[in-house]
Amino acid sequence: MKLLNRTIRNYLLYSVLLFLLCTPLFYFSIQKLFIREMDEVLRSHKIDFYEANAYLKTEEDLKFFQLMNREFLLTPSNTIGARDTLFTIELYDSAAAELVPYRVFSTSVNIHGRNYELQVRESLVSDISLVTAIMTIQVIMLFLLLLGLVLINRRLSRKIWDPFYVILDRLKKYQIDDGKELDLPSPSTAEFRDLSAAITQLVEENHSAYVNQKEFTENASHELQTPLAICRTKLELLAQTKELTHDQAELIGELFNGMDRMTHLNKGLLLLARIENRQFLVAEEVEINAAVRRSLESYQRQAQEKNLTVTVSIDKPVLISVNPTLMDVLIGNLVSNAIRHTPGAGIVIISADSNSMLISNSGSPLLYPDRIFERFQRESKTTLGTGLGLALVKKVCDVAGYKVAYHYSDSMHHFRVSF
Amino acid sequence: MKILIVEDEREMAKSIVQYLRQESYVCEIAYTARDAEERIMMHDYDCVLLDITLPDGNGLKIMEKLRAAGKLDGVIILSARNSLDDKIKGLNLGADDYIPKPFHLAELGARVSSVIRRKRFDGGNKIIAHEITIDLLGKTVSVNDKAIDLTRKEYDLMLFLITNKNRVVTKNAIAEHLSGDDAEVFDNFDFIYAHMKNLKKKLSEARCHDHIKTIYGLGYKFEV
Repeated sequence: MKLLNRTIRNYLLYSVLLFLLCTPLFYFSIQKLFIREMDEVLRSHKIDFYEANAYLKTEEDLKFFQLMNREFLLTPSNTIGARDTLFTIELYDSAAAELVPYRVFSTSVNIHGRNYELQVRESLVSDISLVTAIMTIQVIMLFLLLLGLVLINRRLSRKIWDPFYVILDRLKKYQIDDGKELDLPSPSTAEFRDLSAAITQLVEENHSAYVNQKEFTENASHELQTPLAICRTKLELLAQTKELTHDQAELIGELFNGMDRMTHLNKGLLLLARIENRQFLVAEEVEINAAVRRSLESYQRQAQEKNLTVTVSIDKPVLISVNPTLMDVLIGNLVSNAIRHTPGAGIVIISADSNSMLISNSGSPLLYPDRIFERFQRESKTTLGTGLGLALVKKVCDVAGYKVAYHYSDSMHHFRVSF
Repeated sequence: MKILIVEDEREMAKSIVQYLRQESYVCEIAYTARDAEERIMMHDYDCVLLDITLPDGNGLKIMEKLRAAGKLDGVIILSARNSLDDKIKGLNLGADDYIPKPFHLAELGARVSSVIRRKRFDGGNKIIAHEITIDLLGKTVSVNDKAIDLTRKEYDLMLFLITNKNRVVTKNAIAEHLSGDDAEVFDNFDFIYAHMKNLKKKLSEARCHDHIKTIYGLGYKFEV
């Protein structure tokens, strides 16, 4: 659920609850207030009656008073000293032709030695309509208030949260290695401005750490090139020394092997860093078939020595727009990987169409197939590889926007590159 | 024969000179592009080894000036940048060969001798060592004027050893030379032993003396 809806929902829920609870409470309390007020008025009428009583000397006076004041109802009664009572009754009103509620005050009075029951009545009709009117206005006001609250909140929230959504959107699109800067807005809301600044700082720090690390690999392998080359040539010159003993020659030979491996490793690392730094960008039309054949030719000797059956089934020329160096690295490493790891008399099958390329070779399953594209992840230390071949393949695919997948089935390793 | 080595890395230049001197070449060194340009304009060299990345300029510029001045010195470009671009640019500008760094001195020796031969004799020439004659045009080898049947790899191996005569050629250099630039050598050196065994056998069958000395664990040397 969105933040916006969540806030509004909570507001709404609370308002409705409050409304439902308060409306009857309000209604009853107002009504009670009115009746109490009415009762006060009725009681004061009793005092009025007593005051008037002093002037009522005769039976005639009493009759006249009753005619003048219709709300006073005197009925002769036998009960003496009955307590004052207040109650509501409904009486038929001939004018409105309906039953109308009345508030009645009843007490007993003694006039000229005779006992009467005095009832003072007051119609409740005006009070009820007043309460209803007040309630109606109240309901309408509350409804308008609620509606306004929701609408204003919605609009305001949308406006307030807008920078947040912008920041979120940019963050989603941000990729640390595509060279584009994360350009976050600086909103007027303090919290979002802080957020924006904090994210920008975090990303910048990460980016510079990432660039540093990338540059370090490239610089380190670049700087290593010259001393490595010097060592190798000096070793080659050392090999020319007259009268080398058997042991010395063997030692130089072993040093040379180590030196060679170091050189290859360094070349691989440098290539990896350069691909990572996107130094191979210019795309050309590359014909896959030709690239595969060229690569196979380079490893023809090894394939023959291991008595491998290499099949290339690319029906029609497949043209891909890619940097030629990248394609050579991709195909070269996949081919060399297949030929290197296929056991003697095994099979290597290469096929391609305009969507993908599949290189399969026979062999026993791997121990850690998930880690196959990681650097220096070798199943056996016996092969003289650098451990960078498939990492290079993965890196090329990342840079070129391809997907490479490995799976094992029917006693074959399959590498599929989807263009 | 005069060779100019344009290389800013002193130790590297020194090593190249030391290796090539054994072939009785006269070597000069230029550490900067300016020095190189001056020398090129003043003298004629049989071969110029040209590093592309120099502290005060690009080696390809020197190449351009050399050809613009109508000089026909053989040029081999040495480039640490393993980029196809440099190779194509260099060769288009009239370089005779291109060696990516790092290289084996034996490989450099073979390429230098190849460039010099082409410049001297317009390509059609023979190399003679003892009773062995190599016809570079026909790519054939004959012993006492009798041709022997060698495979492509055996011929390459023979030529590689002879162009680096009297020097130990390591098995690593041979492996790279026979595999080509693009291939990564990922197996052991058994294939070299096999080729060498066959070559020696064919030579001895043609009554050739054994001039190829095996230096155990290190490589081979063709002795003259």
